[in-house]
Amino acid sequence: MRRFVILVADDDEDDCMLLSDAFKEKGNHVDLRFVGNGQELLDYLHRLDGHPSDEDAAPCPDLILLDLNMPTKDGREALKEIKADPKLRRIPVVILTTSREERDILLMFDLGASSFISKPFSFDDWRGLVEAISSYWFKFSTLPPVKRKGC
Amino acid sequence: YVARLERLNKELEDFAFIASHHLQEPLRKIHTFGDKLKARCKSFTDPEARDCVIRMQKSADRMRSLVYDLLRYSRVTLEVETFVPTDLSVVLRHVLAGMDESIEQGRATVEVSPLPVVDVDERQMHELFRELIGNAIKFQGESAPVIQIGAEVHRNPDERPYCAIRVRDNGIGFDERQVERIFAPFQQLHAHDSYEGTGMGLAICRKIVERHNGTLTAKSVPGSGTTFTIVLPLRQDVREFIEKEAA
Repeated sequence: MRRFVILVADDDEDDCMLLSDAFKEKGNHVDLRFVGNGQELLDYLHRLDGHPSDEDAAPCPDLILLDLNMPTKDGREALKEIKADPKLRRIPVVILTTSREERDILLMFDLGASSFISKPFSFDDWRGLVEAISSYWFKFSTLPPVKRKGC
Repeated sequence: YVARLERLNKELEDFAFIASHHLQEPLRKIHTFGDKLKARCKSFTDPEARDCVIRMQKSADRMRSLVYDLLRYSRVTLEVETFVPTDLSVVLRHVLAGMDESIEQGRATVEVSPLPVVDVDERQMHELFRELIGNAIKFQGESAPVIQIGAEVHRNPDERPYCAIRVRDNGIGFDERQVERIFAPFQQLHAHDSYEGTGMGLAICRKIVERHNGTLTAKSVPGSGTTFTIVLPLRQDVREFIEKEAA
């Protein structure tokens, strides 16, 4: 089984660590990559600013986990740009945020998010979340084919 | 002056909303890293260490509930005003359907008389009924709770038509000298350990009713029960009434 690539856009180091630890506990079939804000996410996807176009160094993601409140460019703007770009819009984007605001939920689905998840409150729930993400997206779903050389 | 006061109030409410939203974040982390620490403590020989982590997490959970309710409280007036004519009997029916488990667990009986159609924010009415019924179940006395909900409509020629909705229970009640305390934020008449909760429920209820230009009051006899009275104008459009008065 190939390793699926999840690109995580989150400026919160603690949450990145918790997500990474939970994935580690649940097996090593996922290649997690991290960026710290919406601009870095788009740079990664467009292979700009210091991200080499080397496939191993910056593989094209099967799934994006996107936080909403981030510096420089937030998740809302990043999602809008991803969904407006014909080369990127098929990559499923799952919102992973602390927000539970109805306006954010509605806006994210309007902009094309595949799912909206509030960050868990216990480590058990982090484990449950990564298990659910893995089984839903990588076991039962059929993802659009990823062009392995560049997105 | 009034405009300035309104702006300051709005700023204060925005502040409470933003502050409580951001306060939830570190609490979530305290709990989650506590989980990880607890898992490691399994190998510790000192049982006190694990106990300390559990106590720390319980405090974080409690503070999270407080912050969450502060958020709910500040949100009441931040909602966009959407008062539409709503059949409160239907709202109440939905509330009771959603609470069937807690009503059953609390061995409660709810007796409902027809309620009028009133201009309200439906979601907030839902919250109001849920809080008051939940309150009656929580503060039950020795006998199984009986909750009676009914309303009277008043249409006097010289005042705005209004309704008085009464939620009556046979619970433990309280000393009426404490009546204003029960509606104040974070106030509880009982020790934390005896009844769960943050002391925000009735404060939220009063804020909801006041946002509807109404009043929420309570009458109680210790040991016999409490009656909450919600007075609401039937129509929120004041102009209609003023024009009729002038005519």
